[in-house]
Amino acid sequence: MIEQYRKDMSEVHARTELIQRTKVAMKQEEERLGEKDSKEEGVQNESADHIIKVNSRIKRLWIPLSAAAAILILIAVPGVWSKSGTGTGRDIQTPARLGQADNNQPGFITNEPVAKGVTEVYEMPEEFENIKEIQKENVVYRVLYEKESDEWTAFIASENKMYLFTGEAVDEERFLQLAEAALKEAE
Amino acid sequence: MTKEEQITAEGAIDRYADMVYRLALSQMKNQSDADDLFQEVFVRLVSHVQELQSWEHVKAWLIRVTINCARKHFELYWNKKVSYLEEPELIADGNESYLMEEEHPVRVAVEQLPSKYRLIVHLFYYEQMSVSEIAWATQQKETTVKSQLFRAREMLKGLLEGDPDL
Repeated sequence: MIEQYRKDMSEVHARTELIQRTKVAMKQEEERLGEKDSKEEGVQNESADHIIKVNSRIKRLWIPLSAAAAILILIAVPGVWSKSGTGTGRDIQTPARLGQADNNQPGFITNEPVAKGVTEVYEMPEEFENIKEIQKENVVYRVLYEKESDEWTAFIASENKMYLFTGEAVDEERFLQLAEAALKEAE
Repeated sequence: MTKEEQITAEGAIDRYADMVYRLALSQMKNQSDADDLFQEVFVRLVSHVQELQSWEHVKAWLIRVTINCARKHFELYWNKKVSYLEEPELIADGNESYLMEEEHPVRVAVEQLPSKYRLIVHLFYYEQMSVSEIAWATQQKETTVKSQLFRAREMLKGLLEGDPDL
């Protein structure tokens, strides 16, 4: 009898028309899923763009804010220091140069990066070997900061030549900008 | 991998259309609902086919999803009411499928079994699945499957007046 059941059931087939109809529905589902995937991809790209925009906005804000903070410190610290030094406060004089930079005056502290020199070299000095590379437009930079002299030194390997560049700057990013400018001049 | 070995939803319908349809029909007991179930299962396969590693996986997935979709269908209030009222119906479909009580007494007897026993009988005797495979497909314990199979045989014996083959 079980054989009879098997025989009965083997006579049952899915109709060709049903199979065709189902294949059409499957195609539609595939298209729907494809559209859904591409929409999700679009949303992801948009959010990535948004993150990049926000990050660059933060970077842009950080530079003027740090400059403003440095200026405030420059104004406030000497004032407080001189006041506490004399005790009377009568001999405090507002410097005549306040608000006007005078880079030539000795001892004047400035935020402006200063280029000190570019030298062409034929091999990379040992001290740069363990420093992480920074790649910018086919040029490799390795940047070293010497705390004692408050100086930055960059080993620059362009497509044709290698240089050592020394300068002063408040941070690595500004020093790199200075190094890029110096490389353009040197080449 | 040849075109035949490559696992696609369209390849799956070419291979397993009859298997899914028979299972759907054995569960739904009418052609219209079986058609709907058949279509639902293969449309669902489209979004899962990439997860399936072999044709054996595809087959097991199709059986399990057909069972689950049929269960969902029966959970609907209306279908609960209707399924008890239904008699095994004649499925006359031109030259492809045809059922008449006089010609197919065993099939009619199987269709008279309650849904859970009908499923076990179909999977065990027609699809020739093992008890453990049925347990996996129906998400039940093997002991439950064995006892359901035993009860189904008893019921069929009663319906077929003591068939020695069962």
